[in-house]
Amino acid sequence: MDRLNPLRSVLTGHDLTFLAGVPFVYHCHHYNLFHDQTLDDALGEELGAQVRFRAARSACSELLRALGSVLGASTPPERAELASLLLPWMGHGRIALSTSNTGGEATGTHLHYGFSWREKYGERVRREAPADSFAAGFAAAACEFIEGLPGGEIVATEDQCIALRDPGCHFTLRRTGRAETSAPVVDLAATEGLVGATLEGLDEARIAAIAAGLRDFVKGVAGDERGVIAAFGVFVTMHLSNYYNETIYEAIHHVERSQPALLPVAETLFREAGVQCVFNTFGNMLLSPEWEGLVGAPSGDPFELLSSCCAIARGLGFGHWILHEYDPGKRLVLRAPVDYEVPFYLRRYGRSGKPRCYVLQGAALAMAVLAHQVRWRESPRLTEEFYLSLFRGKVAWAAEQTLCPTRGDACCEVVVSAR
Amino acid sequence: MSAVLPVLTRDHACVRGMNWRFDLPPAAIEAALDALPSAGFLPCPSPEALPSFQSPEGHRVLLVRRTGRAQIRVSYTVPEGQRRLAAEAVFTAVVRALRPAGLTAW
Repeated sequence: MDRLNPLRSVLTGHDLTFLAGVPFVYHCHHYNLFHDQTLDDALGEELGAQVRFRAARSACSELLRALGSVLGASTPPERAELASLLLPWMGHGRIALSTSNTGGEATGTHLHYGFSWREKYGERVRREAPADSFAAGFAAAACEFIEGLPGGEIVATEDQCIALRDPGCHFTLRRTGRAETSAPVVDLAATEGLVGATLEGLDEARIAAIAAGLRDFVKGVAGDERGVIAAFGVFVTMHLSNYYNETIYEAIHHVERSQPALLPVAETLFREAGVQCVFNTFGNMLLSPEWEGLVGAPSGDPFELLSSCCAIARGLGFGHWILHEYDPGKRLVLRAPVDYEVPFYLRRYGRSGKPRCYVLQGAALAMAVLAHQVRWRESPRLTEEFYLSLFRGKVAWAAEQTLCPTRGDACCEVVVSAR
Repeated sequence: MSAVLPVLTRDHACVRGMNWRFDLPPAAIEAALDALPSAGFLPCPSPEALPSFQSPEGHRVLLVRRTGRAQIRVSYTVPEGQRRLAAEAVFTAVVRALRPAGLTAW
């Protein structure tokens, strides 16, 4: 897909990444599965699947239409070719589409969610509902894109899923005739209008250099013949920020409206998704041969590890994370002008009465824990048992988001203190 | 170069027998860059700091230039129960290729 790589761009000073102007980040399967599970925990399986499907269809539709426009894919066969190549390139598996202007069907192989769920949990957990809402949303968006239909008219149902021990994944696509009201677009142009000045923090030169190297490295990474990206010891996806953000905030707002007493629980779960991300994605990257080759194995120095985590966040498109303050063993202040959550919230919902960077909050906490409580020189195994030993019960560190642009503050700030 | 017998172990984040590790003296990495293509390993596009090769059977070998860490990534096409054997075969081929460079203990 030599045509796609040149369409990547970075918002300078903010380390937010875009493909044809559509925001994307990298997340691994551990985070992705936890994120989707959290939605189901907050909303129930049925509503959770609906929210995930709609967000995926909307985000994928934005991307397909933007790519179609830039690449001049104007005929249905050209659009079908683009759609079939895009998903595996991003590490989400392969999908074969058969569409008409009334719907159609799609068959998936190695679809990221179903495949990685089966790899991670398949032997010990029996799943009751299909796992591939994201691919369902992609299939629906692709059908609309190929057939030139208005956005939101196609619904997709996953009627077979490998996570349910079916032999493969299959989707039925159906045209409803009811287009969805379009929400404000969150793209590069909108983001540029929402971000302020950049920031500099401790160890800036090292962080910037590693982040640039990492960004170059991931540019060369794409799905293999299965459409799977196996790198850094995890299954990596190039994923749409608007999917993550819409699902999180729709879920949070739903809980705020319908069950406000449960809001603290839901917010804790979405923060934990950030913890999962740093523990699994960042942690596995730090122990990978790729990191050892590009940067060197972690020395075990907490400050170096915190600095490395900021570089990883920047390299993966999470935003321009900086170490604003660090008092060894006692306190860490993590800042960013914005993270990938903020532009979406401001554009879709406007100002908030409270901080809204759930991934950043969890990530900051996990960074402090990983920096101070993990013996990196002993090549630790980042197992579920180890995760539980660090983050269940009384965690040795506490995080609080003290500044947030969604509230009108000049930047994001999370203060992490030793208990 | 002194004779060193590397050991093959499961690497970090080895899931279902896919990733295997051995360590070489950093100088052996330079030797490997010449020796592996002669042994049938194809160089893959990769950063200079992390040379990478594909074995004739489709397995990947990553070499960390600065530390000598090597990782074998067994192809997913190999059934799980046979991955250790596949990794051992690649390991043997790599070490044999490096024997002229000083890994005489093999």
